[in-house]
Amino acid sequence: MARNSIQKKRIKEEKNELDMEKELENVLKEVLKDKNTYEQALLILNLFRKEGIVAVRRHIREIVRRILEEGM
Amino acid sequence: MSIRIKEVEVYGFRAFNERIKVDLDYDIVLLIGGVGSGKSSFLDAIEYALYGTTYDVRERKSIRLEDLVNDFAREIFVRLKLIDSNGNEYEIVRRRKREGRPKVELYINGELVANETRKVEERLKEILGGITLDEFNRYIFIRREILDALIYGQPIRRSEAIDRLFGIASLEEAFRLMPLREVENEIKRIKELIERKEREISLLKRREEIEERLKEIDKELKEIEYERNRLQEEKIVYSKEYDRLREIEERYSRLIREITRIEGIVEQIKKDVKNIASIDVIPSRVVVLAEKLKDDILSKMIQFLAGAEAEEIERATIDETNILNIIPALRKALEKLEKIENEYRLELMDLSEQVREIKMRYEALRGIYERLESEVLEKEEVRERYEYILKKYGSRKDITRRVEELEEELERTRHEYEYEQALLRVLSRTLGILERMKKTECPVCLRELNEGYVRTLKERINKIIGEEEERVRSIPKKEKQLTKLKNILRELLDLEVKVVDLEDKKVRLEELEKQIEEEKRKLDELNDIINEVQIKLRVLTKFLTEANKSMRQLENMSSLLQKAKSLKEYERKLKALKSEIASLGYDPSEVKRTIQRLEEVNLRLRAIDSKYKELIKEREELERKIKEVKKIEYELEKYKVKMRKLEELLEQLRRIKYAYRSTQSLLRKRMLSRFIPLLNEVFSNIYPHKDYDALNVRVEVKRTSEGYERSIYEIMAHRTTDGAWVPVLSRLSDGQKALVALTFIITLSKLRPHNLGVLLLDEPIPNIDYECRKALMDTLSSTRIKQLIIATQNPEYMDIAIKGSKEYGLKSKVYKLRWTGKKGTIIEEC
Repeated sequence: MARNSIQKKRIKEEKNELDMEKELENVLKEVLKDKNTYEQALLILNLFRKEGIVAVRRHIREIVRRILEEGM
Repeated sequence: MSIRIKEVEVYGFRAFNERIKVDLDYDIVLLIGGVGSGKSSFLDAIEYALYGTTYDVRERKSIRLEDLVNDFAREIFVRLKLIDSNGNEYEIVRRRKREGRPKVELYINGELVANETRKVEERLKEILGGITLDEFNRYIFIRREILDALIYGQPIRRSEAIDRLFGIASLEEAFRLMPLREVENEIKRIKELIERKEREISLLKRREEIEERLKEIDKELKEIEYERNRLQEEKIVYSKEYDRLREIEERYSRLIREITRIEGIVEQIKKDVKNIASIDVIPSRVVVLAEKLKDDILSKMIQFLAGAEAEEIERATIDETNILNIIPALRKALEKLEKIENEYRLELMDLSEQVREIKMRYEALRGIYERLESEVLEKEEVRERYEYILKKYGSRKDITRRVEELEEELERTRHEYEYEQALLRVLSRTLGILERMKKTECPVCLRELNEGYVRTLKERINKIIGEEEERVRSIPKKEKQLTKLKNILRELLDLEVKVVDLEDKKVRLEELEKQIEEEKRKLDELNDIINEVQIKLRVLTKFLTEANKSMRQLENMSSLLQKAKSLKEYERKLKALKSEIASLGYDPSEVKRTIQRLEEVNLRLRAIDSKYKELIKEREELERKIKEVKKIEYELEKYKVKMRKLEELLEQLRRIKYAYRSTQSLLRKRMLSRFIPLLNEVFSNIYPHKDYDALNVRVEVKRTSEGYERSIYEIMAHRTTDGAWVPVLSRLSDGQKALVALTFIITLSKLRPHNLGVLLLDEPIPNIDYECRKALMDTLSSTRIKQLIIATQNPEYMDIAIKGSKEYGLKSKVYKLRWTGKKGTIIEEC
């Protein structure tokens, strides 16, 4: 039982070390500093990865549209 | 824990149409087949079983999920069995129709543990050690394109492949494709709008100037309103004065008109009275005339039975004091007489009408009488003829009796004649028979006949013949006599009717004569009455003509008398009016002056009103302008806010864009710092030659033809001969390059620890030599990778299976894949 938990802990540590996603998020956070910008950057990156550039364009157009409507 | 693939069962997935079950529970599995034989489809089926999608669908987006269904199949079915080092068996079953929700089931050691997509994904992630689809495609499922890019690729392609293997390629792509132009274009558009609005504002007057002018206008308007109020008050005063003067003027005019009228009356009265010698004579003359008229009227009224009115007239005494009162009574009496005259006239007309009617009736009766009289005279001849017939032939009864007798006689004669004729025929025949037969006996009774009998018979026949002739001659005579009598009888009947009619007419004629006499009598009576009425009417008409003439004279004179009486009254009234005019103090020049002042005030008021309106109009125009300016300013402000926000957004997106690059750069450094020691460790194990002893990855930043900065990777090898770092890809042979590529793949599998001890290689290295084969088999013994599944069309890989079994004691299996057309791919053991 104890052996299993040590093994699990080791795997978890290794995983943490090499969890690229987590690392990417951490680095992005470091680079951008500002929380809002970081969240926006992460959102755009995920959109880009999952749905492609068309989705990113749509997202940015939506932000632009919101700004324009707010201004009106 | 290391998990291996035990078995795959598939149908309806890409190239597989028939159900295929493949045992993969070996250390090395080779899938050999030509181009399009379904090798990649098989490896994709394993990926689909694990993740419910494939890299081509999710990452490359080159195909859609529904395209995974075989063209001739209705649904996908993939069953994947895994087994871990502890002997636990995991079974994943996925089904998906071309349209509809996918189904998934997860069994552990034959027991269903999850059948909802989310739960199955979670459990699988846990079982596989958290490895994602992306990582699966980087560390486990190695495609030829990656190896090609590493070994033969251009620097940029190679760098992209390494970035992808490191999992940082998406950052570079996101950096390059960040759609800033969307925002930039919008900013440009808003800028243009702002410029346009600014131009519009500059075209309008400046706001301050407009507001200044508005203040001035308000001040002027206040002054105008004060002046207008003052003038209004002045106008009210003058208007009141004018109204007062107008009233006096109207009163003055009215008095003047009254004086003129009364003067005219006085003048007329004086003119009328002038024809009479003295005004004092008038009453006595009127009295004389009235008395005469009264007597005349009274006598006529008595004559024509108007009693009550006559008494009234008779009672009235006429003198100078009541002369004017008696005139209406006389007029009334005259009118009564005129009424009586009218009644006479009407009576006369009525009588005349009666006379005319009686005359018409009389004439009609005369006409009828004359017509009847002539008819009676004509019918006297009928009577004579009737009497003649009666005298000659007797009464109608006698003639009828005679006719009946004659008819009986004639009938009898005819019967006798017929009888005799029949007898004659019998006798003649009997005689004829006797003479012909010369017999003497009767042919009927057979009695003996003597000659005397025959002679008697002959005589009898002759006698009958003689009588017959006489009878024949008498019949026409009797018939003629009968006809004549019948005619006379008919005529007599006709005459009888006519005679009766004649008698009736005579009676009627007598009645008519009486009526005519009566009418004539009435007519004479009426004529007498008419004559009497006509005489009365003539007398009355003559009297009324004269009396009316006298009455008119009387009325004229009484009128003069009245006027003479009222003259004094008029003169007194005239004097009073003149004194009232004098008291009015009417001055026409004062009225004129007041009107002039009032007009002046009105003129000034109109001028002020016009100025007021102009100012109001100008103010409205300025207010409209200022409203417009405010609106534009508001819009301008809004656009500026929008632009500021968009610029902020652009700035944020730029920062994000460059953050992606910075992140990528940092991650790359970190990855390389971890990767290179592992790489050299693997390299030292699998690289058998002594010419190179270490590898390194150099990163250079270069500008691409599109103008972007790109990090270019150069894999460097440390040459032992001179200790120099040389680029691997330009110095090393293909075999050495393949070893370096394998080094990369094995290092990557070490970089990311997970539970899946499988390496899927799709057409890995075209020229596989001994070192490569050895390196791969060493991998199975020295690393976590415990199963190698290679899909290739190169038969040289068969050597791995053979050597692996012989030299390393590994379990190997080779399958041959073949595409058969509509049935899809089939797999055969070799």
